[in-house]
Amino acid sequence: MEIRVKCSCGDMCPEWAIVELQGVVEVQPQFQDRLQNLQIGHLCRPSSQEVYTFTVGYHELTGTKVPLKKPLLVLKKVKHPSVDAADSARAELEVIGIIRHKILFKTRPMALISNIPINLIMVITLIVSEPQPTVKGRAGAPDSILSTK
Amino acid sequence: MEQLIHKREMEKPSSGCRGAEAVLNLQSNCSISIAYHPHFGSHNDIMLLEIDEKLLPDILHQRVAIRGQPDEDSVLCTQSKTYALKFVGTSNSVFLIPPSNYSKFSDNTVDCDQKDENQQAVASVIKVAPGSMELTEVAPRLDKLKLLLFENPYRFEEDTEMEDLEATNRRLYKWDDLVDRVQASDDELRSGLQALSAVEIDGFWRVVDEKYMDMMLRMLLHSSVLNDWSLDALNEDEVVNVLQSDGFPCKLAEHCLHVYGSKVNNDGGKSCMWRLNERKVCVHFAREILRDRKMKMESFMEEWMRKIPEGMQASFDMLEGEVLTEKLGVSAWVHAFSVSSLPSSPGERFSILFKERPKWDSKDLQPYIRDLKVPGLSLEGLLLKFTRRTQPTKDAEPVFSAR
Repeated sequence: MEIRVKCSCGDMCPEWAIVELQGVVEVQPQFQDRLQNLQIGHLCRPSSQEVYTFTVGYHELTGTKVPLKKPLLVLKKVKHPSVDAADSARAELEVIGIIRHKILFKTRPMALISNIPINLIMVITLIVSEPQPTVKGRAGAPDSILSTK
Repeated sequence: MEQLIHKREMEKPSSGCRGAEAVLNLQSNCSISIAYHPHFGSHNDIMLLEIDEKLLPDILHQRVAIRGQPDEDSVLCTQSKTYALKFVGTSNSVFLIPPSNYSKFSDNTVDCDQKDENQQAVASVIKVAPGSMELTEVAPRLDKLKLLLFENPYRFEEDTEMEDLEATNRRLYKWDDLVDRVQASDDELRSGLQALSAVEIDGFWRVVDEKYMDMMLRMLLHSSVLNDWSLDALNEDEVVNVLQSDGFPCKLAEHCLHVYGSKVNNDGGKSCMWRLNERKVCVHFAREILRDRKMKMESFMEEWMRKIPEGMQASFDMLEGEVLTEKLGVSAWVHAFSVSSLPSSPGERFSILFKERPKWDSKDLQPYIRDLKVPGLSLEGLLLKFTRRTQPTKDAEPVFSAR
């Protein structure tokens, strides 16, 4: 099968952003089922340098804005209602955005000692022993790329 | 004055939902709230693909596609190249933030308007990306093309028995069918078809049975003797006419010229002129002679020379990559072993080569491996990876055996 990669943005692909941090942000159990609109934290740029802080719960991370060596495309699966039933697998990938920068926090979080009220909904759990482990694997067949697991 | 107002506004961030642009263009001394998007979810239909800057124009101008069958690992094809797709996972939390005006989630603005005006800027995370896909350039997977086309080569019977065609139609392939089944870019697929001497007949891509080709070539050579044609200047119209009168379809007659000849510059005439390729014709006859049998070198050479059309010169060098010689006692024997019949993946290729012969010297081996193409790996690299190289003495020729 063939899945065409479509792009309707021409040369002006909308830029998306990534905020990346080591470890996992965990939500208090009572909020688990209603993440929508919930605040994760506060992103701050304290000076004119490309240094950022990210405050999550009572932790603060320090990081930088880094350009990606190779851009990342954001692709979205689009299924077309097929005209004939035998041709059910008609699908396309649409380019919906491009990512050229990310704000990367690779430091361990610092505990904030503060008397201001803070959001205690979020907790960062760090995977401390492995500094950015990656899992390489094959991408699988085209329909598995497109399947909604 | 204006600056002052500007500054004040920045200290107290403006209200409303904003997306990626607010994060990427965050001014100094400013902050933004990062929140889960009203439509936050796993969004398995959204994925990230890392792409080389030089491939970007191909993508933006819609010249790429992902190809493969359900049981194969996907590849991404541009017009001319094939790339393997690999998923690279990460244990980091990768928060993906779309631009504010991203239409697919646009009702988000309504959500914001409902909130009180003192609310500060918010960038919304639509999903946490588990990783991204990466591309590695690979050789096209053309062995499957060979397999598909040789399921059903074009044979004599098809010229006459029309009713059987219906039954065999199921195993014939049009260009689009091949694109669907073969993991190669359009350019690579086209040169793959050419390398197999395939021809498009009634919309289906076919290879022509060797016996059929043999019959046509002999007929052509026979006619050129009868009509006193020069093998260096064959008139396409005349050749096709004669072959058609012998019962060969026009398309196949033309194909015969394509396979065994090359076009000569046309000096303004109406019809194309062709020159038969000496090597291709000679190799054809050697293959015919050695089909399914081993022969003593002398008897092979004798028969071969007899079959070569007049005006052509055969030499044994022409047969490299086609015929192997082995010494049995005092006499040399030859048998057919064609590089075109071997798989194109290096691992399988070397495995078959060493099954044929446990030890190869460099001169014999070269013709059987020089067509191997692995992006990022030279022929030397392939030899290092797949063979053991021994050199009995300093001046001796190296010998290659299985690892």
